[in-house]
Amino acid sequence: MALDEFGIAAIGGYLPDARQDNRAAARRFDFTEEFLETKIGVLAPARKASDEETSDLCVRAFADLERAAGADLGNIDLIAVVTQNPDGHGLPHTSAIVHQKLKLPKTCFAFDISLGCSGFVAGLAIVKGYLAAIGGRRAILFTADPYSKVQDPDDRNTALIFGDGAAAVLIAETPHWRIGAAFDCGTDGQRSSALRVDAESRLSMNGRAVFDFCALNVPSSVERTLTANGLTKQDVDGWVLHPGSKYIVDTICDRLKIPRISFPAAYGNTVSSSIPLILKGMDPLRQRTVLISGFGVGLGWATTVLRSAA
Amino acid sequence: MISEQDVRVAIARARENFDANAIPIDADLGDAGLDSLDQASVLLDLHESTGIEFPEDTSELNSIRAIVAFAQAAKA
Repeated sequence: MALDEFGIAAIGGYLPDARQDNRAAARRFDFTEEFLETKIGVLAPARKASDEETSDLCVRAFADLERAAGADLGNIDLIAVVTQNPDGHGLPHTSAIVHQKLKLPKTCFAFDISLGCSGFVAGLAIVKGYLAAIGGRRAILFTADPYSKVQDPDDRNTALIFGDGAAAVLIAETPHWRIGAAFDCGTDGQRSSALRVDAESRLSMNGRAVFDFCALNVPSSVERTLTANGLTKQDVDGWVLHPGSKYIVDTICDRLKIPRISFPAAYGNTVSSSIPLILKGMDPLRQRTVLISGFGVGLGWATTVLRSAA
Repeated sequence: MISEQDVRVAIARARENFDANAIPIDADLGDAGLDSLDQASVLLDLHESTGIEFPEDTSELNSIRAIVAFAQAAKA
């Protein structure tokens, strides 16, 4: 199978029903309503149940994928789970637990990918390469990174931004969108401490460092990706920029000189699940060329394009 | 070198429909109506135009005068 034949064949998603009321939380932090709506942009991030594990989120997303795919999901060569908040202490890897819960055959390999917001896009490159290397045909790329496990509800820098969620994406040779031929990925390890979990297992974020990183690096990554794929901004009819916050997305759009794009206010930043959850709401027949860019933890970024196969 | 006017121009770029010239030079930028993300945009703008690296902790850079003074010291 030629590398360029692989693509996204179906997407399943899962958002827990329980929601955090960010308007009430914003008042607690003395954020104005305007700041919440125009800068943070997230109104009701989802919160998983306390007994719901990362692998459970994946299984829920898989159930939705089965409905979306409308077909048997047997003969899967690989499952990969993008997460930095795994089940238990991370050993065994969460993908192995998902493998167990889905009763997958031994011929299906499983591994985790330790990345944050860039994880879905980077995961496409990894899965595509794996399938080509083993002569495989189908894989499922899961994303599930429930930050509620590490969030401090009293931390004004992070408490309103992140929500729980998961996605399950079927990668196969009969896709709706083909994965772009070229990716642009990078890491600025010097800034790795800007978004981290500390020794007390609490998430902390240097908002200004993350903002600077995104504003300075993502627009140029987008430009390089388009050039490498033989495209211009005018060729793109769908933009999916990781919804870190509304302000970051607006800033990147302004710097790219493209119209501002909609922001998923209803559930916000679900880390690596953000991009597939947005893609799930898009139509490959209408959004035929889609630029996707994930950026955050690392600090790192990963960008590519999807092109309709129809 | 960053002038007072450079900072006001950066503020105007960071915040639409905001009269940057009305901010007293010693006024606290937060009190003047710029939130933390607006202030981050101002410093990023000035960094890109001058190459000056502003510190991660910007709590001291809370007025136009403080930003100009930091920039002058950084370039000295």
